[in-house]
Amino acid sequence: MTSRYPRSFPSAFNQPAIARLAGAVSRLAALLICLAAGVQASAADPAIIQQPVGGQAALGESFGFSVDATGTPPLAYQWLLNGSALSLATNRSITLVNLTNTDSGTYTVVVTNSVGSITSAPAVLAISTTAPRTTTTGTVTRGAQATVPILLSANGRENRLTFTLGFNPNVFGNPSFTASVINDAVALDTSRVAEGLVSGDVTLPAGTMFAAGRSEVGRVHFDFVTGTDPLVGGLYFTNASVTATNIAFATNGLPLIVNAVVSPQFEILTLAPALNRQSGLFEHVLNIAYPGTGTLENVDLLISGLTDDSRTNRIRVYNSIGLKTIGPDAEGFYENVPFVSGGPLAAGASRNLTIEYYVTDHTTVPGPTYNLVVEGRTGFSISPSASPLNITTNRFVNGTFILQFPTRVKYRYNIQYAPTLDDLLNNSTNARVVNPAVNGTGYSLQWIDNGPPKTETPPVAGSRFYRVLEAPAQ
Amino acid sequence: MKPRIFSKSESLIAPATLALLAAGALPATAQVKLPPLKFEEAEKQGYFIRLGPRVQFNVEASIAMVPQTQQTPGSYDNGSVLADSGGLASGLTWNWGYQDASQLSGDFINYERYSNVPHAGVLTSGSDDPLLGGEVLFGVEFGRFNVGTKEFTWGAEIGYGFTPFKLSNSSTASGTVNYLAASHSLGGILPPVAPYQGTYDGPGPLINLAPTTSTATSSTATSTFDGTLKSDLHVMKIGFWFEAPLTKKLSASLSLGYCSVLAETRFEFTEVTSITNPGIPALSPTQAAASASGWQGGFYGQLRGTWQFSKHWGAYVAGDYQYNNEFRFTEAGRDVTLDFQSTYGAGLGLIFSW
Repeated sequence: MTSRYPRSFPSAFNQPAIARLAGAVSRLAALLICLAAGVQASAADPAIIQQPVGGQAALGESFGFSVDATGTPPLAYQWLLNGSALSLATNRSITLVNLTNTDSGTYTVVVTNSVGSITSAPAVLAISTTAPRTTTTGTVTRGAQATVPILLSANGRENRLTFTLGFNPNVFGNPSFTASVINDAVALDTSRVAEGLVSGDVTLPAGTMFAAGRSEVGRVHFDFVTGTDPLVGGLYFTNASVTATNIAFATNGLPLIVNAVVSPQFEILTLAPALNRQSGLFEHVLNIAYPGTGTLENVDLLISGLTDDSRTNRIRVYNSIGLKTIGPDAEGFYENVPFVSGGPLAAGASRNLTIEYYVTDHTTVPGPTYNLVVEGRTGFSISPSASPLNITTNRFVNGTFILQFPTRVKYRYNIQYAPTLDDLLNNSTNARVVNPAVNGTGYSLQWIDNGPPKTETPPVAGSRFYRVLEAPAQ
Repeated sequence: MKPRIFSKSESLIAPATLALLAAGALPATAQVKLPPLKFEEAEKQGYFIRLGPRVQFNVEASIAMVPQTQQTPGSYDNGSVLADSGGLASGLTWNWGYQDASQLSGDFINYERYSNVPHAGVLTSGSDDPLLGGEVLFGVEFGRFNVGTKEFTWGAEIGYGFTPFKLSNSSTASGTVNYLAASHSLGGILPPVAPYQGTYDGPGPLINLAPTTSTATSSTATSTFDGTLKSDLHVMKIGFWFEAPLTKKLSASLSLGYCSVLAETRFEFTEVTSITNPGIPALSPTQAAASASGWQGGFYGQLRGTWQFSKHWGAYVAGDYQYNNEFRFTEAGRDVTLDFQSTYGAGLGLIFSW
């Protein structure tokens, strides 16, 4: 409509009187035409041509609603939550930031003009209670290059992920980035590699999202200095003064909160659990490591996926120290699974864990699934009523100490070890307690020290003194 | 001095006893008032001690072999290699054990089993010879009551008896002994130090369930047994007594009560088995010595005749019956039983009353 008005109104005063009169009539006619057109348009009520769409978001995230409406302008908008008007929510679209549980509910918008009003269909916003969205590193592998998988625990709404990974430039250099899914677009900002910073960006095709759950989105490849261990590369995620922050984006472009952490990792060293005839148990050896910075107080290895053996007896983790809950799975179920404690892990440290499986038929090979989590160390103490017991023998064979001692039914046996006899006898801070304790059978028992997680370090010939403490089982 | 409860028992217990005895004991002439026949010399006596030797009959002892359980494959005299919770399929087991380091030979463990070994020294009935002992009892009179012309007395007694028992046996037995030698592979494990015994549920070192070699041999064999079973039988008695005067100096008594036997027993024997076939390792002589004791409850009854020859002194002769549970124990594969069920005794001695 504005195009109907002269571009430069003051210049008309320079024209003759007739011309000015004609112009005035002309403008009056134009005004009348405009008014007539306006009266004709007011006959149309506001109408919504695209309803607001609800969805799900996590606490602290952002979520947006929008509506498309037609009608005689001007159109006014008022958004409502559960029927109550939201202050300052009077635009065609609104964005809710830093979501809390009180933001969940049914949203509607009332569109009003001079003729009438219309209320949109309800759109429901649910505040998700699922685990936080997380970017983590996977297992750093060491070949010609060091490869750092980037994993995303997604909620299923993420279309794009950005991150900045810090590293020790004295170990790593020349980073590159590949997407794990071929159609994903990736970008890598290497402008601050000299400072030990690299930023990545993975964008999925429009309209597609990362699958809910944990999946690998891409891999950062580094050259590493010959002779160095990539595990000491000091990896970390950062948002400080870099070209990309650790964040994800929804399909509508809204930012989604992401926690980014460098995870402890494990590698399975023995292909599958194998029967050790000396202990009668299947053993699976894993290497746990921490390629990040600082020190993790304790990591626990959770073991799931164990089935029954051919005698329909459940395969058990023999050196488990308890149960922990994992979940939910794809069907929303939680499960209590056995775990072993991997102990504290410093940056760049690694440790082998031998997981022992009790399989009654001696044949069925356990097929465990492992999850490494950072947890506080599980408390453990010896019964004050425990009394020392004579050890029949202690032999060092094939890298293990094999102890033998008499046991009684309904008694439990804690094994202590220390580098010197005095440490043991004086209960010094160098004395350690084996975890878990052993139940008595009524007979002489053979116990094998094959290193972590039972003991903190692998046994070395001549390095340990042991004693056994007997106490009634609780 | 009379017991403090004398007057009470006279008024409360005597009528009841009277009623029990009335039907059979009272003659028709009981209606006639006659002076009661009293046991004259003991009239004022309230306590007594009875002491004398005693012979006991029918104490029997038996020695039997402990019943052998069915010998399953893998059961040996010096250990076992049995199926565990994993069954047979894997061919491995942690349910095994052995007794001595000499059984280990390289990566193998050797077992042996003797079966049908002849055993001498098995007795079904030990002795019915009379056993000489003695006993002493202390008694107290609780009351008196008249039945017809007789004055009965009654009271309680407590006593102790001692009887030694000894049984010796030397005998031989012959038969055919079967010998099985088996060897199981250790499969490379370091065996636990002997003696060791695994469990059905494990876990523990796994060895081969089936023997790598197994050889059976037979031979004649002779077993010689030489053993002694000694037991000191201590008897504690507590019961009631009833006494009826027969004449002014002669009375008859009946005692009934509870008794318990403490059998302090020691069993020693040596058994030597000679095997003819030199291909079968000789069996080591069995030498065993064991002590055991235990109280066996029961009851006793005694009939007694007493001759009161002075105010305080008398003599008695008695016959008794005693029943006690049998006493059993096991040592070195032998079940030893002392049978006190239905024993008889006879005794005589002196009784002092005051």
